[in-house]
Amino acid sequence: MNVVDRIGQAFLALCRYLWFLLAFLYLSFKMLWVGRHFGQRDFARQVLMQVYFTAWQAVGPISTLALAVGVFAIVEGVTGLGALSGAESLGRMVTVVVLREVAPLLTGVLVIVRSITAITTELGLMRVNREIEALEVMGVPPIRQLVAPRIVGGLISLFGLSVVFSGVALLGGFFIAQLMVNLPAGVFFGSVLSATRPADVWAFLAKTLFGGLGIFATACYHGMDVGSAPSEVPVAVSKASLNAFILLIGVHGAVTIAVLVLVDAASMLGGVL
Amino acid sequence: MTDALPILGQAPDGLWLTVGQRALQVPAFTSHPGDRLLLMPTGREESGDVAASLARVLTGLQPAALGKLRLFDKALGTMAYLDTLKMRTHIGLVQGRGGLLANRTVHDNVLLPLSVHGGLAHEQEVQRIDALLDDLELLTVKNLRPYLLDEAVRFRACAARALVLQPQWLVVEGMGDFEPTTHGSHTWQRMLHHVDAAQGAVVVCMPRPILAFARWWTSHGGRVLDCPLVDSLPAAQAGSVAL
Repeated sequence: MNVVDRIGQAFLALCRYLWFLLAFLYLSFKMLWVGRHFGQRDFARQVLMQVYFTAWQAVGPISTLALAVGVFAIVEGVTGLGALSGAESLGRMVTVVVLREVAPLLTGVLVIVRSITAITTELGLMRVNREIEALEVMGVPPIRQLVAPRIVGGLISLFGLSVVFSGVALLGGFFIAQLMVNLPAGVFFGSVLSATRPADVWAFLAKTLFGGLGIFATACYHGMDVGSAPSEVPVAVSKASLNAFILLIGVHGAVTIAVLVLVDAASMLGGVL
Repeated sequence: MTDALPILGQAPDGLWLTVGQRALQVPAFTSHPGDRLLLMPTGREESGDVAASLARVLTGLQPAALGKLRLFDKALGTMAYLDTLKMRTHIGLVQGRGGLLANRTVHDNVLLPLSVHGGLAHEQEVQRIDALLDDLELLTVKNLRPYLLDEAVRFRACAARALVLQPQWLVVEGMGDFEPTTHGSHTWQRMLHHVDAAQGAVVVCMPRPILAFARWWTSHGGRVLDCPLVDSLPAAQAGSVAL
């Protein structure tokens, strides 16, 4: 088999994998609708549990990480750019770095490390221990009972954690900026607000939403795909975390490019009009 | 006499299953309310998980390699998904190794099917569950998670979960905590009582021939179907998958 064949095969395999993921996601949301009369209390409980495990228990680590990012961004900015571009531009730099790129990406990575591995392991073990089979016999759709709440709870958690990350990073950046260059709060937060365009907010939301859908669907898909052997669980976890990471990077790249192109197009149209 | 009774489960031409590298033949059967059926594999060599494979087929989780199974006079595999879910509320499965949800207590495991399908107020749910747990001697362990229980208690907890919706088609994998005494075991007595109360039928899928259990079963009004474990599916029909 020559190189072109191999590349073609790999590309087809990627397309097939993405197609399965999309179909899985569609099925999850369809079951959310079709099974809306089945056990709403239990569904709400499952979503809350997911939010507790994914978001609430990760507030400490994510805040520490965000504080470090905010502080490093300002220290680097002051030592590298501050003298050249003025202290006010520090706020703008933090906005661009944190809100647009780092917050959704690092939050996603932390969620992959903590929760994606946990979800895949849990679902895989449930498959091995025939718990999923038991749900099916009871007339409880496993996708509705196990997958949909994890995706919904995961999305809520990812969004919440990204907001916490952005807030803590901005606050951390502000405190260190005040220490280093005695920057007044009004100037710092004024530059943050003026630097935040609607496109940045949309990019933040799109990355959180599509990134979240991608990584949680990947986790659930690989967990549910485990057969009956316990040895399949670590393989599924490894695949899920790696694929979720690649998907997250891909979604971020695609949204960033889309935003740049749209902003460019809008400014060109604005110029023409 | 039985013609007037509704048919709960029926395999008019029998069923064939692949189990590991061998095939299991289940003779034709028809089950009515009150029926107690014991499927006993015969043959000296063991292969695969016979009881689990049989249970999956008899609960409609997977099709037989050959043959058609009808439950509640409906052919499996032809129903819409929601209808299948509704039908499954009349089916109970007691898995041999539990199959209880590990992240829930015994009480919450039993509560799950009731909260999804029962349509009862919370107080009524608690009442029904406590009565069932008391009946199966599980009240003292109701707040424990399954991994803290021994095998016999896990079997009882699984039985409680299977019985909570008062199923009419109860499939049991293996003989659980059966003891070769006159009573068999309290669990078996209670399971049969609950199935009779719901005017249902019970099918036990044995992993291998256990004569003590078969004797007890027949002495309690049950019948035994021998299921030969053979080398392969019948050649003439193999490949034509039914259901």
